[in-house]
Amino acid sequence: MIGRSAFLQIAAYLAVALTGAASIATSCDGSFVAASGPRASVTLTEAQPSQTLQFAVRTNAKSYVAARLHVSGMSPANVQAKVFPGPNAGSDAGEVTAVGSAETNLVLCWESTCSRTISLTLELSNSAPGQSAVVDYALEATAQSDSCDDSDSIFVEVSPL
Amino acid sequence: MRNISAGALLHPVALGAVVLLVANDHVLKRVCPGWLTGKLSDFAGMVFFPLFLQGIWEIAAKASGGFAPSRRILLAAVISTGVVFSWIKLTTAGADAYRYGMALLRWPMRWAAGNTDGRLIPCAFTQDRTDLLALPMLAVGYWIGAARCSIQRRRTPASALMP
Repeated sequence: MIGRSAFLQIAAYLAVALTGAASIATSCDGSFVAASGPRASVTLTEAQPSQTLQFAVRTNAKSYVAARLHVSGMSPANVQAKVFPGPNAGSDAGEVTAVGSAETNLVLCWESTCSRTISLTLELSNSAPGQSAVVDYALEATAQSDSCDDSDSIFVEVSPL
Repeated sequence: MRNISAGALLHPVALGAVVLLVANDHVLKRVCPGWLTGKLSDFAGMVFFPLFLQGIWEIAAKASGGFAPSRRILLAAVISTGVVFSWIKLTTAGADAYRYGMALLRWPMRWAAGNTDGRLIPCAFTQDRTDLLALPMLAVGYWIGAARCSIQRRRTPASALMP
């Protein structure tokens, strides 16, 4: 026959084990995967002060994209970047304008059904007359799932159009 | 409960907090996502996690000779829970440590379930400074643990404390 204190001790051990398992099993808001995309340099000259670059983001989950820009050759304040998604993005998609060397995060789709290819546009413009600027850009797309166990099944790719 | 290692976790409030965490993360967040369900798990965690840490220490101490509920250990558990929670919620390094730490802890379960290709992929994590509103709930965890320490002190004969 098991005594009361032995019973309570076993219950306490169980409580520790279950509390640890509950903490690990629940303390996770979801999964995400990230994919590096195109990385290149664009020169904005007096003859061609702006350039428009287009990309495609293919994903099966909620997604956002980070655009990292580095301006050299002139004052970064004269270079503006606008990043916006195409019409097939989610209704909650955003649009970002950045000046100079910056990192922006843009939601492409944050609905429950985001499984598609979404176009993405990066517009770079130089407002300083008579000067050239070199803009290094890098894109990184991220797909996120609300489930903690989806990290092997969600995917995202970003490529030039 | 005073002679039971990790006995503080058997307190009804501590057990209730664990049940609330599980129910909130698995049911309530899906049924009614919002500000309140985003906070409930943090509130619950601040109550039971210091007692969980204290319990682990007591089990280890018991295995290596003996233990008595210690207010100092409890205080260290409360402070470390608050500091680490704040670090995770306020800094990028803390959030990354949490994402990868949780992924590491979850990996064996996922591997056993055949649910991974072997890669360690970090968990997503919502970093919200307003979650720090849960910090005062540490006082509840401390209150549960401290009451147990006080009982132990009152019932320990003075002679037993002599070297």
